[in-house]
Amino acid sequence: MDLSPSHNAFSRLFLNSSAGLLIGLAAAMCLANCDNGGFTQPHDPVFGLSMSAFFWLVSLIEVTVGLMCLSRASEALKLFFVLWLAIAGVVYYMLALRHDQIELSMYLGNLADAFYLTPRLVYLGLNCIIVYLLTGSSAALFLVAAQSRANSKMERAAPTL
Amino acid sequence: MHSKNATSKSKANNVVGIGFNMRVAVWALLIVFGWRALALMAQSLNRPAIVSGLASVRQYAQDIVPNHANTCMVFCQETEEGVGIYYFDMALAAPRLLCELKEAAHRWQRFTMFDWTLDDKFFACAYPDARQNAEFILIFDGVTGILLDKVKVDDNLYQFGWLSDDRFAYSTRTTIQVVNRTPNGGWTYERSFENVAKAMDNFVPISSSAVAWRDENGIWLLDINSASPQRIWEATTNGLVEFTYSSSANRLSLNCNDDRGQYLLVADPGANQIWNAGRLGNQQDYIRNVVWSERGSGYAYLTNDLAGAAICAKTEEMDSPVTIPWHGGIRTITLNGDRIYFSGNAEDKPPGIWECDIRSGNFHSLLGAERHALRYTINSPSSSHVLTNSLGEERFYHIWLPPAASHIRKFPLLLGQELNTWFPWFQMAAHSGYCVAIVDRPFCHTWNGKHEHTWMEDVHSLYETMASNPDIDTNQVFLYGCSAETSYLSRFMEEYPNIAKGAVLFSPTILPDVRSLKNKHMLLVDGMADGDAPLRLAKYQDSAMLTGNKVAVYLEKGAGHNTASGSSERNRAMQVAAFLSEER
Repeated sequence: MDLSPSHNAFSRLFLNSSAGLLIGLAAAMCLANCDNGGFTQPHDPVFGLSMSAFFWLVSLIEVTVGLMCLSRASEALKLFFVLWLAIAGVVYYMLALRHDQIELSMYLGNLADAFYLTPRLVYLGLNCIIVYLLTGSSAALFLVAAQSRANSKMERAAPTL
Repeated sequence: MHSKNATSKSKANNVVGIGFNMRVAVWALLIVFGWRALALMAQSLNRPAIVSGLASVRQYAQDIVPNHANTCMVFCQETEEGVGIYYFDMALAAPRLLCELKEAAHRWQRFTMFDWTLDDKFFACAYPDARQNAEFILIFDGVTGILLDKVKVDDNLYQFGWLSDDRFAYSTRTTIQVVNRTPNGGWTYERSFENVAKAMDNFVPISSSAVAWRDENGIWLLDINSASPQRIWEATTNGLVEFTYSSSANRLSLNCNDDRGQYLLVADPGANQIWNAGRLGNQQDYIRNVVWSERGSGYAYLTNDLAGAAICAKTEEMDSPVTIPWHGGIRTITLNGDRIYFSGNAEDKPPGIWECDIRSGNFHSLLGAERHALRYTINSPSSSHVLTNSLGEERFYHIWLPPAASHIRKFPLLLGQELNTWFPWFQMAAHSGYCVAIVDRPFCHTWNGKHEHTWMEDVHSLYETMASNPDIDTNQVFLYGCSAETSYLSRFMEEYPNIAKGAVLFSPTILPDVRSLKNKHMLLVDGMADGDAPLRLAKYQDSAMLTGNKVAVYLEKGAGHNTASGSSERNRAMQVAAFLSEER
């Protein structure tokens, strides 16, 4: 699929930055898991996995999607996976927030301690990343779809020889 | 040609494109690893030296056992990996480790110092050997401290006494064994008395051929040459606390208690006569059990005073006991002639071993305390006060204020109930900016179920007293509780849900009902080997966090319900310091 130069630059920039964020976040989760300071990790409120196992699993998915963003796969596919990951994050939040009084930042103590941050700041950062991935991938996919429609119109309009 | 060029250009673009992307990934990793390194550095730089220092102070355990000449002693202190028994020649002032029990090998068996022979030639210790799954009595040379013999003993070894310089007896809860020294230097079993008691305690040798003990409320005497023991005294209305017996005078010295406190009785079992030797002190809740000297000729006990603590003692020559105030905390005391030995801390200095001359009332540091005094103090000694709790009972309490206390900002408050002994985290909390207020636990509040505990009343009254101080931030109140106290702490948090913002619980047995908690911050610390604690605390953490509470669970590897090594004590203290510092 051919994209116009500006669309191409936008989606490449977005995919590059997403790959960087996802790989960096995965590394951060792995580092936090490797040194939990002897503290027992709580279980995540949706799947009931220990936060340690949950971090391993999430970091594996993040690395996979991050590496996919660096691969030569089609841009639409890459964007689709980023969007899927972002939506999965949103769905996870919604499922977790079924518990009325829960404060999700408290589950991020391990990650916060490892990077000398407060859990609330880490929580805010993760929210920002999800919003970025969600809006960026949606916008890029929209542009890809629009470009694709434009291309097919042009192909139909072009005289056949 | 054109097509070939286009393909190679496209390949080059791809390589350049992937290369660029990979650089992004590498940069991301570099940023994360760099940040982590900076965080590690910041964490170590941000940890005050006083916290590491206080956490590293080795705690003393058990009673100090001096020899009869008051020239040497054995004492028990934490080592890095466990607890050790040390031989200490007072003239040399350099303790030597005799034996050590690693925390990981710690079971319920006794690891303790027993006693010296009358001529100070030998002393004995109880040592459980986990590898052999057996218990031993170790016999050491009294002059050199060298291990001479290991005598394998019955399981459940409990108490011990030298009958003479070459003969000893030991007891389990029901059995007595007599062991003799053989001419070639070994030790051999002489006699065994099975099932002579239901729950033997206070086992004391009273002559070279007789022992006495307490079983329930009676005192029993056994002549080793006879076949069966005889009851020589039975408490009917008096609660017997401790006793000793002088065979030469045929006199029983009894420490008893009733609703009004503790008192002494002297009994002549032969003549069936008993007379009251007087009440002990005037603070019924703050009288630690009497320790006897030379089978009743002298006695001493620990009591409270606005100075911090006080030792009350009477030697044979004295007509009445003297009270010697001590500015600080005391763990346990040992009376030997006209000297008292104890492990304790002077005001806010770290603990050491002290000697007190009863006649002059002077204290002399033998070990530990002075060496570290300047490094580990916050230079802000605690102050002692008295309050009356809601039951109308008097309680002593101690306040630690942050160094260079400022009145600009309100202090968070840490409340608890403890014995007045050395606890490094109170100083750490004060150093982190907390006002720490700890009410003294009455000495009679042991864990045998005989006394109603007043933790809730005491701590609530303490809170009310402290909350009236305008410098206290009543929105930042934290509670501290350890082991069985956590049941009272939990009830307190349930009954007064608006008082405490959080709590520190060591080895909790009972935890607050999560339904009554909202937005509380708690630190739970326990040993991995403390029964079902890992599972129980993890479950509690999950349920508490689902209801919006922040619960951190720290489990120490190799540790049980009580810490029994310098390293686990240090880890625990560091976690408390970090938690309180974060919550401030």
